[in-house]
Amino acid sequence: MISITIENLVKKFGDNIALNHLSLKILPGELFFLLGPSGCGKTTLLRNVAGFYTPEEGKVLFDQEDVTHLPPHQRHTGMVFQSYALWPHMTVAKNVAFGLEQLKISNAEITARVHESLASVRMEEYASRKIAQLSGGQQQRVALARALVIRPRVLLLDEPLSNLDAKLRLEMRTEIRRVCKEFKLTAIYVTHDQKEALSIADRMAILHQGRVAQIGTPEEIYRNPHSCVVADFIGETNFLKGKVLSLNANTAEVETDCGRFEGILPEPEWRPDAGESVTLSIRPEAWRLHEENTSINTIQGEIGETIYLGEVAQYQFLHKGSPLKIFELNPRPSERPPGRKLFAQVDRQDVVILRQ
Amino acid sequence: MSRAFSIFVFILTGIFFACFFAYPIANTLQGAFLDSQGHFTIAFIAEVFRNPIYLEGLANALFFGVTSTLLSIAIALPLAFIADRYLFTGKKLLTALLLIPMILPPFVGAIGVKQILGEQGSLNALLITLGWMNSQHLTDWLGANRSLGIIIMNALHLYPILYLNIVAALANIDPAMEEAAENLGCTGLRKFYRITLPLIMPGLFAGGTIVFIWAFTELGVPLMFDFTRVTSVQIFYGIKDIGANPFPYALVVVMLTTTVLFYALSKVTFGRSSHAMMAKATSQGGPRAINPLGSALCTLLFCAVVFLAMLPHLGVILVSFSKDWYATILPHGWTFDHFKVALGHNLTLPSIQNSLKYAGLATIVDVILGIAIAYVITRTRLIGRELLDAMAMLPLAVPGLVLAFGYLAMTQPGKFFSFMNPTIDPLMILVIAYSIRRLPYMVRAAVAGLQQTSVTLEEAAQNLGCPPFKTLRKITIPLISANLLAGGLLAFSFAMLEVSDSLILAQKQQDFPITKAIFELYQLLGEGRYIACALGVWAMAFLGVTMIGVSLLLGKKLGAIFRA
Amino acid sequence: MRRAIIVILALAVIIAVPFILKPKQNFLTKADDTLVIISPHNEAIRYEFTRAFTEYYKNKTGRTIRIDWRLPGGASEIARYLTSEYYAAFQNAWQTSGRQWTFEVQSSFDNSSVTLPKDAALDNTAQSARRAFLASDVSIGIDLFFGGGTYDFIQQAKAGRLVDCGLISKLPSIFNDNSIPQMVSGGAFYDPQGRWLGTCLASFGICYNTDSLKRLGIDTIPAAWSDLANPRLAHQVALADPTKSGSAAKTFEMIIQQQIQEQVSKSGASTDAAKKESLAKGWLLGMQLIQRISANARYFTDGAPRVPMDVSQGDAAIGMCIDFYGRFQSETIKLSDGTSRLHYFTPAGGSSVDADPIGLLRGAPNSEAAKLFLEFVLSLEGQKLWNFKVGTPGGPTHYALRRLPIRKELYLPEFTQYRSDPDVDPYAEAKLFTYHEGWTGPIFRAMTFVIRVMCLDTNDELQNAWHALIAANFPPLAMARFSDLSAVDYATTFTTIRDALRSGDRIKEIQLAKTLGDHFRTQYREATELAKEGK
Repeated sequence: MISITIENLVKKFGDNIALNHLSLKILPGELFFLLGPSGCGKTTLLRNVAGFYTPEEGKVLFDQEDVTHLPPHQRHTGMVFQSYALWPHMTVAKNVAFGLEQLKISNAEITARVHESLASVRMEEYASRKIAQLSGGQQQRVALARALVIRPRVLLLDEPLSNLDAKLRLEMRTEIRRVCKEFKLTAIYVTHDQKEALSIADRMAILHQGRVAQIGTPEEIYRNPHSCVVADFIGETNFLKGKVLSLNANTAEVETDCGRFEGILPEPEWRPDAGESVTLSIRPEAWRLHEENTSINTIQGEIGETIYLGEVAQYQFLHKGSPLKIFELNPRPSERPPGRKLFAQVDRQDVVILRQ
Repeated sequence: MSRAFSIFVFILTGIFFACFFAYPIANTLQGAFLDSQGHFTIAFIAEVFRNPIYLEGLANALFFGVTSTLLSIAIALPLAFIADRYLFTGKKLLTALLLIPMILPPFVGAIGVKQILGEQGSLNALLITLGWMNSQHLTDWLGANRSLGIIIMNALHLYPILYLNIVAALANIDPAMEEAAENLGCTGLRKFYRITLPLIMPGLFAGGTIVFIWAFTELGVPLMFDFTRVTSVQIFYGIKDIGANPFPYALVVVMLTTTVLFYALSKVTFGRSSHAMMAKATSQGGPRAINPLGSALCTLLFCAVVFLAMLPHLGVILVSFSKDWYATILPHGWTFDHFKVALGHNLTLPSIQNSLKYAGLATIVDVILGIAIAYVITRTRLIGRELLDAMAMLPLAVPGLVLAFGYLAMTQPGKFFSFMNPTIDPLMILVIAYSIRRLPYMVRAAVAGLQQTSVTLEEAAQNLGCPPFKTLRKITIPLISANLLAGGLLAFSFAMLEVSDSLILAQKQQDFPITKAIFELYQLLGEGRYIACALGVWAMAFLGVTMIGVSLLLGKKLGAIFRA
Repeated sequence: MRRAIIVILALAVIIAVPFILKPKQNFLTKADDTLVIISPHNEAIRYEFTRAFTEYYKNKTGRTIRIDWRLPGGASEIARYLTSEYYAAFQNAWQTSGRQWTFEVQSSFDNSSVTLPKDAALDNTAQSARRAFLASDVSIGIDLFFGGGTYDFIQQAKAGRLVDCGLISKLPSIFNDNSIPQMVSGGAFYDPQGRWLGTCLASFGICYNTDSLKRLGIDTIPAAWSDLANPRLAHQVALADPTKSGSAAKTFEMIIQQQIQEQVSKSGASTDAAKKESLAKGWLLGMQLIQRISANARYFTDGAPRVPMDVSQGDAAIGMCIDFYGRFQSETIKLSDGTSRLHYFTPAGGSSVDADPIGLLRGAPNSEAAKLFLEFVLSLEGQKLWNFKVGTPGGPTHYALRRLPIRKELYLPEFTQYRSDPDVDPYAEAKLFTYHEGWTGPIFRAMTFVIRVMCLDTNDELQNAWHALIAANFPPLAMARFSDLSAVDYATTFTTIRDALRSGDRIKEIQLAKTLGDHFRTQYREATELAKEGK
């Protein structure tokens, strides 16, 4: 198990800056996610780690070893490509064996390890198949086996599940986590699917415009986003604009169009001044609907359009300002018909105060 | 498309092929199977395999076919790889110029080559001037190593076919395929050999098959070197023999069979293994810039190949402007007179008009037939479509003379096709002859287009109530128009350069196409070679602009045409 | 888009150029009458005769005429073309008349060896087919066959494809020894039955490049056929293929006849046996000479003009060619000081002078115009075109044809100043060589066959042996092996080989070719081995 350190990385494509002085550290054995909208630089960062790109500035360290200028084939990483990049002219077993053949290992051992590796992704009976004869999920498993069989120092996954259907994705992501933990691998996983990240990541980094917007555990990122970008990207949220009225230790009171809210300040390094314009981020599921006005952090409005999804109902909540999204678990929408006047209340720790 | 319509198209193209390909060939080739009493015999065929001279000819043809193909690959593969991966100075122009070697006008190519490589040619003159050769001991480049010369000339003439194919194949590879190998520790030549090469193999082999067939049946180049012991030349001389000799026809039968077997073999071996790339590339592929030194080296390499391949053309161009040219590096004097004489000659203008007419009409026929055949091959499951596929490739393997004499025989007065008799008006029979001989390129182009176009696009149109034929016209053809244009222009160019049919079938001066005009002017003693070169230069300019234009406009799509 | 416009503009310019340079006068336009001529003559000859004849025709008849030249290729393509066209035409006529097109009919209607009994009632199928063809007016839509060797015309006349044009009786002033003799030194200048008439004369000779010979160390000026066998000329001799070109075959025949002639005059050959011996010896020597010349061959071309062109360009040092090709090419590359690196000569006593004929085809659709053309070609006006310089009175206007007219009047001193080759008198040349039909005529085809198997089919082995011999300075055993031609001696050629060729059985012919081919390949290989061993 090794750690990976990215120091001050800069990568340009012509005038376009893909990575802008980016730094982060990935701990040994960690399943680390790179997340962000397309064009944020997450694949570029991964390819810098794999060695397909050489940065203009900065360093990539595996433990203490500087691998910035090491060619890809000497880095001993295992990569799973978005398109899988399985060679159609070879069988499944040949594909998996390929990396081992480069390591000058005896044939007997290669056979054994290929078998073992295919078994670990439950593909052993497909060893002699051609790639074109496999389904998408099977190809994904082979790609994983091919990357794992060489016992890489680092496993790199580039949107590995994006070509699969929803059900398979669910199944495969737990599979990937299981394998990573079983092999005790440091792994970097690039995706734009936040569910994937939230569900299996140890930690994750949200990238935005070639920089790290925030690093943290799934809960930290979800509950305490440090910026509008992160809050907007992960999960759904309601943004309310307002001005700071008063400040406490790590909370503040903010005046918005639809009333006064008390919320938390997520970033320890940042305290707004009184009167400063800020944005509040309140998750739809944090709201609770009441018949009467109960306490602070409450606004009055009426139910608009409703989407009923069984375990949850998504309401449009109309009030003086722009409509809010409110999710209710275990709902009975027939009791909350459109036009019904209600109060919506949110806890203080669910109101996140963000810079504008 | 409805099954009934498909069958109709199938039968129609089948009839066309039967009438204007199988029938005339059978007509000519029956001589190979009839003895002097008019009874069937395979004695002639058997004799071919017993006669050491014919066997040696066949062995030489195979040898030239294989070695020329290998050398073409050796030239085309690095060029294609560089063109696919790197940006370098002059790349656009140079990659377009790479195609020029294919349009060497007949007859005059030999003049150009001799002018440069002959004993009193440019090269020796240059070497003498440099002091590297004694003027009393000249090297006979053309006579000394004839086999090597033939292979080199073949390869320099045919490498563009492979180049186009390999470039197209390389462009189709997902860059991740190679990155995956690198990631697993495999780089450089090993990576190329284990990953890249197998992935482009179908394209390589498709082009290689055409190059092989071409080199295997090549006539002009061995003739240029006076190499007679090769099947194509034996056939050529045999057909011209005074007194009907059945052996050339027996040789044609053997050559045709060999070609068909080879084609079938390539289909069986590689036909099924064409690897569809699964998904779009995930990383930015495409060529990248390299350092100035590397760029200069690439440019130099391309220039060198283009220069070598265009030596015959350069020779022809220089001859067309020269007063006399003998034992000097460049001509003794320069003049435009040959152009005035050539282009102002009685034969010239009508012949150009005729050629444009014949080749133009033939191209239209090719486009229609090409679409129809390609459609049957790619979009239907009719039994026998593979047969149609193979048949459409066969014209590549039939010597032009055989077809020409077949056409002549089948249009005699009293025969069913006498209304096409070329002495009355060769238009119809020449158009048919040209279109049959160039059809393979068109069919390949259309097949490639259809294979790359998802059938769902057509289904969507039909789902919205568009009838099948209208769908073809409104959806399919516009989608593959680039392929059709490329194939059509190539068919047109090659039709303009057609020799055998033109020489035999165009008999009246007012019906001459340009190749026959060149041939006639070439026969003029004295200034003949200069005038022929001047006319050849005109043809090269015309076709060169056409080809460069097409390749600039179409880029990599051109490669799909030269696939077998 | 801009790119497309540039491409289209460039194309437009290229297509426009020939339109701009378009000639003002055009012979291909429509006219009152048409004359169809099939010919191997080159563009220069066609141009001058078209121009002069259209004028002549206009003066004679007041009508315009267009000559439709049919050019399927050289003499061999024309022969093939005529054969197949008449075959189809007669088949059509035969079947139209309701008769069965049997194998016997098709193999005899144009076969001169079918003899006809006096009484048509006695005819068998073959004979009635032959008689029907000779009496028919079957047409292939062509009027005249113009140009080629007498051999081709004799074959066509024999087959019955050429018919009497009636000119001999019409113009007795021309067809006599003062103008056009019937026979000169054993060669016919016109067919007594009028089916073909000579129009100009040709002899065969040698052209050489002075630079090349000097470089190869040959200081003496070549003078005879045997000079082509000089070992220094290895791979430098350009030859024509005797199996493709009748005139090339004729030349090889002359090489043999010259050798026989020498033997006959040396031995005196008074008795039959002595004559026979001289014939056999002369044949052998002639064939051995041809063998050595062939061992020096750079190629055997089927395109006759190629030889002088290649020699003048130094691509071959020396070659065999028709006189006017050699002279014409030499003229073309003449330097300003009047010298030329290309020289032509006819070996003294080594070449007959042959007529280059014209003949009227069976069923000619425009026979009146065709006869006028025949008259014109043989008239003084027509004859002047052959050798007069450009711009001389009555001469050509554009091309100096440099061919030799057949009418003796043209060699009178009054025309000397106008002629391109005033020094050449073919009638004087012809006296040096007498053609003896009986010596080689009956085995003409057998001779080309023998040359083919011993020199062309086996040329690679022949050259290897020759080079080995040269390298070893001609050791006697090897040389004897090399030049052993007992398998194709005069007697064998006259019997076995000739019979095999006459049988009409293709398999037999090919088997003979293979047997002899194998024989010579083995022989040449053995000679190579012997030479390498220095024996």
